[in-house]
Amino acid sequence: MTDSHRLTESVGRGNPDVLGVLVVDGDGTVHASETTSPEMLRAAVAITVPLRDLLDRAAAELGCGELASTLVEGREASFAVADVDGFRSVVVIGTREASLGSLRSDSLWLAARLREGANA
Amino acid sequence: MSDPTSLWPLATLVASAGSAALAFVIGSRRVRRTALRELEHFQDKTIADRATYDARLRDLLSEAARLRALCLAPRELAARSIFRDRMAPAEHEELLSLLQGMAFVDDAVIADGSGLSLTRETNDESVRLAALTAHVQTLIRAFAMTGAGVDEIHVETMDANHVTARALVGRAAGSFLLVRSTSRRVNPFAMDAVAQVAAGAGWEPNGTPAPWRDTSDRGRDNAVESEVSRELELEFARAGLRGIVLGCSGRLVYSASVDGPSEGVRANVFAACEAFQSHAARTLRAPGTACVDVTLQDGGKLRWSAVADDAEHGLLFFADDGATSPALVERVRGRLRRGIERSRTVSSSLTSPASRHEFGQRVGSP
Repeated sequence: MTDSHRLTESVGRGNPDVLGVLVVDGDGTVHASETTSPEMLRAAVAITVPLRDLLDRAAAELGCGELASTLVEGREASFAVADVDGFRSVVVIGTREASLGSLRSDSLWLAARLREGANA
Repeated sequence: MSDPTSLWPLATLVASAGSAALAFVIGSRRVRRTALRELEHFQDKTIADRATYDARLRDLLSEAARLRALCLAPRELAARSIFRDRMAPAEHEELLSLLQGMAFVDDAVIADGSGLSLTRETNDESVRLAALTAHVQTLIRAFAMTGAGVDEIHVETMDANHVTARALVGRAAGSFLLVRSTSRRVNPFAMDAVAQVAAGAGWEPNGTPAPWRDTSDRGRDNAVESEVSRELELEFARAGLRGIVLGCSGRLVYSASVDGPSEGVRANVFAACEAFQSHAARTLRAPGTACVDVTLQDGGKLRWSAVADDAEHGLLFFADDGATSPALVERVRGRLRRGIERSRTVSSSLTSPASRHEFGQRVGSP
């Protein structure tokens, strides 16, 4: 099992507030995932790639600098997207009960560990 | 008279010199004209280039001014309080500056109930600290359901990190102050100072006594015969505690109180503390939670502590402020841990399905 799989699993497993965790790049390639259903994985990948592109452009236009993380809060579920290396993104999908701060914290933690792993 | 033919060479020389001079004059004028044309062209080109570069410089200066305005805009907005009864972001930062530089304080944030920081996050730890707020709020709500107001929550992790959390009131209502320190808990006076500054002049401590004080439930279970329970019976009488609960994997094993909270309150509080310690360890990325201290607004104190490193067994004490010393509580916990380690058979029987039913019947029996 690769480091990214192990790390992804450590965020998702045993956390009732998390429905799915995945690491996906700009081409739509899934590097690691931990979800409760394959449909969710497919939907998350389909949404993440254009969303990341849009967020990058929005951040650049507004002079925000490089994208670090973003949160999308829905009525039924929420998710956090964090940047790993400008190409890969971490997505953590949470239940309605999940706190936004926890989702963001988990996504940033996983992104930082993946960066460390890539730099090592 | 000289011979005219003798003048021919002189005439030829003069003529050739004249033609050469004429050719030179004509040639030099042409060169001059060409040079002048080139100079004019170069001048025109220079003027055009200068206009281009001037325009580019104006664009760059205007872009720089726009970016500077963008950078300054948040700072200006941060200093402005939009609503009179809410704090501006800059005021949150000022609050935190009261704690900066204090010994043992590693990090501090002010965050809202969703776990998002309202102040600048200095590192990854700040993000996790802010995220804990959501679980702090859940625990405070659980206490509120039992009629008790929470003043302060303190978490000690297995890797000796301490986090102290407090709900802010007044203009900062709805936000929480979280301070992380290493090796020891942050000074409560510092937390008090920040809370009072956040609250402003109108702040009054909530002195409403919790309804727990009025309860006099005596839910002691005399039928428990295990060694662990005997230890607890013995220590409970000595320690001057108002209530004590021992749980194993989320299930109550022993529960007793003297003039303390009712059986239902004890069970609910224990469940809330168990859930909180689990969330805290996960959110802070700690190997586990060693203890959770809750200070109530009526002065009462609670301590959930992991009996062993695996946090399978949790022990909850209810005490009045000053009625029992932390050393005494630690001694009880130590005796219990040794008791569990000594009687592994008891420990294993506590986790078996058969005994689960047995203990489940005993807890709460009159």
